Amino acid sequence: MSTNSRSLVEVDRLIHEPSRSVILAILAAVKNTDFLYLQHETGLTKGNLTVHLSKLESAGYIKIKKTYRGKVPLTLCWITENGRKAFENYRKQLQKFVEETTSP
Amino acid sequence: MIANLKKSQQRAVQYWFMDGLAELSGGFICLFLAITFFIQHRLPVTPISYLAFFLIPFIIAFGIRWVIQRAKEHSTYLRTGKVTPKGGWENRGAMVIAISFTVLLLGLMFFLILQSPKPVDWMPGIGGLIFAFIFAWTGYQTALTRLYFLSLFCLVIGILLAIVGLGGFIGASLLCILTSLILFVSGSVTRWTYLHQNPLLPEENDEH
Repeated sequence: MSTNSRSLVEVDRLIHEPSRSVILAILAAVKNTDFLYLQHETGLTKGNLTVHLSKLESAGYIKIKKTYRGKVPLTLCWITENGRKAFENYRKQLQKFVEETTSP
Repeated sequence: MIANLKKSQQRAVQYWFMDGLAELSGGFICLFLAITFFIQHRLPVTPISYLAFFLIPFIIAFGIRWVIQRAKEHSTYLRTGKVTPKGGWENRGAMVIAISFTVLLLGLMFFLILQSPKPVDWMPGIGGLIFAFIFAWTGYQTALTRLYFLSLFCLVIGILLAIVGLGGFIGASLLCILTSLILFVSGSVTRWTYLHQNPLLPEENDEH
């Protein structure tokens, strides 16, 4: 297997799913966001977003806190240190793969 | 894919400015400053009055941040969700540069004030430089082009007012009025666009 293929094969499959990579990218750039913002940005249904968030939370990449805004439930999400490292690693691997495949 | 991820991150960082409330609030701060400078022009100049006009904007800025937060909770967060930006202290290098520049400008301001009444005419110039720095810095942090235009506008107006020599306080007051006007226009257009693109949805649970 060539080096560039290996760099893609070795990426974290949990993050490599497009919706989850977007979720982690957003959370890496800010302190925290709520469920509505993530839904708005990813275009996912509530059910699908909940599943993706649960997977990321189970992996220890994000934390989720359920609270209230007035009487409306509010779910806040933020990235953990593990999640930040994993996302940074994933981003580097992806970048490396792109560089290796685009250069002649 | 990397480009898409970067765009998502950029939108999240720009979110605070997406609804126009930050610019509208900035407009109110500038208007308040303009009134303060005008009163300062009318009143006898004392060290306490100088200290007051350096402190008042900071107090107002913190107060305005609280007001923006409440306003966002009642409109923006209900429409497109909540994003808490990273705190300023998380980027120490950036904070060191910002604080150093602010201290440098304040020092320059005091130096010019202490020299003689004439150099006080440079107040609008320094004021313009401070506004320009704030907008350019925020523009750099958020990659929002309109903030660079605001920065350039403040710099040019500040220097022009300093050269014209209307007097320190009147010049500074005029600079603040013009800055507040452009902020109100920019903020109103941004807000109008945001509200039309994001109508208020009926309240419901945010989860499945």
